[in-house]
This record gives sequence, C-alpha cells and structure tokens, in this order.
Amino acid sequence: MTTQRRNVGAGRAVLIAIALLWSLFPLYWMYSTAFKPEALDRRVPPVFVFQPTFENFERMLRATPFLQYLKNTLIVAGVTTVAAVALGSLAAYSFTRFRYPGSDFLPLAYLVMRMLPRFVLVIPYYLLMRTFGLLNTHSSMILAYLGFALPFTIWMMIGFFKEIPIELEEAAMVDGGDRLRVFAQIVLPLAAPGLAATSIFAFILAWNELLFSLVLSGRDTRTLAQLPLTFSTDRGTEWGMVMAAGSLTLLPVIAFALLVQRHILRGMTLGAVKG
Amino acid sequence: MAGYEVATVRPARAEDSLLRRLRRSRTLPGYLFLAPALIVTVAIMLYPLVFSLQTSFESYQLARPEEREFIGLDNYLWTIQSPNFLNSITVTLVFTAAAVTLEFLLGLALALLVNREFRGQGLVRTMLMLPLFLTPSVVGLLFVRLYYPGDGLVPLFLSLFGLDNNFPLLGTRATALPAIILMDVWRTTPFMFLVLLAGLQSLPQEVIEAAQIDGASPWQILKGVTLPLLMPLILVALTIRGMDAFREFDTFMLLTGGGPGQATEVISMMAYILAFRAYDIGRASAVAWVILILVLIFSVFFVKKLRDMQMES
Repeated sequence: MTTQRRNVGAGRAVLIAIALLWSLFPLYWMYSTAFKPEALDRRVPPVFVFQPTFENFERMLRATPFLQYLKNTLIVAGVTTVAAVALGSLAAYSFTRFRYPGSDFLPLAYLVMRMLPRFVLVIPYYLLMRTFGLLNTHSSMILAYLGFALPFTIWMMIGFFKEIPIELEEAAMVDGGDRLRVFAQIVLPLAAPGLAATSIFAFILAWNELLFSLVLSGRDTRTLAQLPLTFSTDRGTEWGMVMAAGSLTLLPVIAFALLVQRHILRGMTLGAVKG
Repeated sequence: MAGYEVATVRPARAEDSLLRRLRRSRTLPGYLFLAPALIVTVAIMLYPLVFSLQTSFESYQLARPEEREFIGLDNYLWTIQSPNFLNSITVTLVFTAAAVTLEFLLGLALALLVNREFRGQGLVRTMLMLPLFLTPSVVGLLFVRLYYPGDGLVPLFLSLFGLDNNFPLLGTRATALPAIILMDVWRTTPFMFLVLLAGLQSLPQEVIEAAQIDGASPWQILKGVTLPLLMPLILVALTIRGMDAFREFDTFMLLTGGGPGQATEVISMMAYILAFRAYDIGRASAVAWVILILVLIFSVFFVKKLRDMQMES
C-alpha cells in the first residue's frame, strides 16, 4: 500500500515536471537566444551551453526604435490605466451601493462590452480619429484602449467593493460625512489592494494591445506590441536581436503577473470565480 | 478639521436642506458616481458602434470618403454570399473549437495533477500560469522562431521522427492552422487550468470521500461527481475562452497574416484586411456587424449564466 502510494507520487512528480517543461521551455528559449552570441544561434543541433553576452541587447537598442516605443507604451498604458481605474471604481461604487433605473442593467451591458471583438470597433475608431485629426496621437490610443479597459476595471472593482462591509460607510454617513468623502476616506483605503491589482491588470491589457495600436498609431506613437511586426523574418534575420527586444518587452508583464497572481482568477473571469 | 469649516461657512437654510437632500438621495449620487464612466462609454463605445452601423449600409472606399453613398443591404448581401466570409467563419470556428477543446482537456488534466496538496504547489501553479499574460505579438514572434524551417526547434524535433526539418510548417496549408492552434494551446491552457483548479479546490470534500468509500474508481468519481459539480463553472470558462479565441487577432497577424492563401484567415483578419488593405470600409463594417450580432446573441446567454453563478455564491 505504502509503496504503491509512493509510486503514484513519483509518477505525479514526473508528470508535473513534464508540464513545467512544456510551460517554461519556450520562454527559456527566448531568453536563451537573447543572451546567445549571434554566431551560435543558427547551429544545428542547437547550442544549449554558451557564454552569455549582452551584445544582442546593445545592438538591438542601437538598431531599433525600442526606447521610443517603450516611451509611447508607458505613456499610453499609464494614462489608460489611471483613467480606467478612476472612472471604473467610481462606476463600480455606484453599481454596488445605489439602486436606480439602470443599476441592474448597466453592469451587464459592460459585461457584454467586454466580449465585443476589437475588430468591430477598430474601423469606426480609425475613421473618427481621422476626422478629428487624432491619428498618430497618444490621445487616440488612450481613448480606444479605454474601451476595453473600462469594462474590465468596473467588473474587477465591483467584486472588491462588494467585499467591504457596508456598515462602516453607514456609520460614517450618520456622523455627517457626505458620499464623496465616505468614498475617498473610507472605501478607497479599504479597497486599496483591489485597486492595485486592478491597475496592474489594466496596465498589462494596455501593454499587450496590438490591433488598436497598429491602426491608430503612426511613426511617432507606435508601441512595443508592434515591434515584433517590424522585424523581417527571412533567412538573414538576426534572431538574437529580435529575442532581445521580445524578452525586454515581456519583462514587466512577467513581473506584474507574479505580483497579482492572487487575483488572477477574478481578473480572467470578471468576478465569476474568486481565486 | 473639515467639519469645522463646513460649520462656520454654513449656507442659507433653504439651500442647506436642498444640498443635504441631494447628498442623501439614494438615486442622484448614484448617477453622479456613474456619470464620468457613462459619458466616456457613450463617446467611445456607443457612438462608434452607431457610426459603424451607418457605414455598413454605405458604399464607402477609404481613399474616396467624399463618394460615400447609401446602398441599403448590399454590403450585407455581399457578406453572406462571399466565399471569403464563409471561409473565414469556417476557419475561425475550427480554430476556436479545436483550441478550446484541447485547452479544456489539458487544463483539466493539469488541474487534477496539481490539485492534491504537495510541497511547492504554489510555485508550480505560478510557473504553469505564466504564458497567459505574455504579450501575444511577442509570443507570436517567438513561435515564428520555434517553427522556423531548417533550424527552428519544432522542425528539428519533428526531424527526429523522420520528417524533413526544412518543412515550412507555417507556410503550408495543411499545417499552418494546427501550428497556430498548438501555439494557442501553449499560451492559454493556463486559463482553463486556473479556473478548474479553483473549482476543484472549492468542491465539498465529503462528497468525494463518500464516493471513495463506496468503492468508486477515480475515473468514476471524475465522471459521476466532480465534473457534474463543476459544470456551471466549466460552461463559464468555455464561454469566456471561446469568445476570446473567436476574436483572436494578434498571433495570427504575427504567425501567418492569414496565409498561406486564406488558410488561416480568421474573421478578425478578414475584417482587418478588408478595411485596411482593400480600403473597403462599407463591406468591412458589414462583416463586423454580422459578427457583432452573433457575439451579442452568444453573450446574452453567457451573461445570464454568469448572473446565475454570482447569485449562487
């Protein structure tokens, strides 16, 4: 009996190891290629052991507009996050604390908006931004990004606000505080961890967005998600350089994902599943 | 501190009561909190959608915006009769069905594997969920490298089984879509894994133990107890993942751009090409609206399901 259980444990360990290999190997290969001397990259069979070097990163930073794209991404994703979290938490507070015509229907409407395919919106966005002379500006991208970030932040914050006991607010209201002050001084501090997690998710969403960026940006406003499209992938491609750019783009996303993993389920399922 | 200020600059009595009534009202502050988000939503969702509905009834070439003209249902008739549209719908459905099914099965297997308590469980969970967050376009580029004919790791691995390592996996009709599906399975299986793991961990342990005492095999327990209990959760997970797969764009753009020929031209790719390569805004809008209506029907079902779940919890 005991031996049998140990055997099952060993079998499970092997399976888990295989799963980890499957999950991490492509990522390992990206970072490994980025640190590999260019001359070794195209060797067959592939080289696994080598002296790591930063030369791919140095060359990439000189040859590509990585830093400019990075600046644009930070501006667009940063402003989108702040705006979406600010508007989203106000709306979520409204949905969880007040009853009025629309307070049942509107949250569901935001849920439907979360499901809308981006390509449905990108065509009118392009035409409207062109009409208003906003193509190739950060503003046009921030506005468009809000379209998917806002439903997301609203639903994340609804979940977090629901968990805050309403009695605390009622006590403060009785003491004569008005709604806005109760929200700012009592509810927001209590929801701070949720606010932080929501911000990080919204930032990741904006950081990763390709389609809106592709259509609305121009020479001066392209973002990092577009950088992979600028590399030609023909025989002469310098993969070390390409992977250096990719691995730097992924770095903040990986860091943030590790930070918010406790709230991941809520983020991915819009509150349907609590992690 | 603030309380004192209010007390010293007390407004006139009538104003005071009006102000207080406004602040205490159950309805008005609700609208005030909602107003900023609602205004933005009307501007960036409702208005663009109405605008796009309008262009879907027009002959509208991007290069000649002054020649816009109302043509009724022509764009819609073109859409539903177009072999391109039929092809795109088929490719999208095949991709979605295959990817989501594989991700569900693999995710369930992983969740069952990791479910029982062991040392390092949290770390394993973290490492298995990582691909989910990665920038899709970068993942696309990474897989272009992994699939690269000649020295890509996948063709080199396949050559161990006697296949030619110069075979262009992404450039061949028969293998391009399966290659993208495999990439999608790598990238988004963690979603299914995380949801199902949470579901498994929330199951009442007594029910499963009772089944074990009755002598049920692990397979019988999975089929007869675990899966039926998880069914609402599974439906939600399948729907969310299905909708996301249905609109996938980034990785297709990177891996194949819709080719070879139109073998991987999913519906988002078709709309993109129609609008921004063929500059046919009218038809592109009609395609978008046909999809929008399908998605709306589907999400109404989903929203109902989700609301039932939230009420239960």
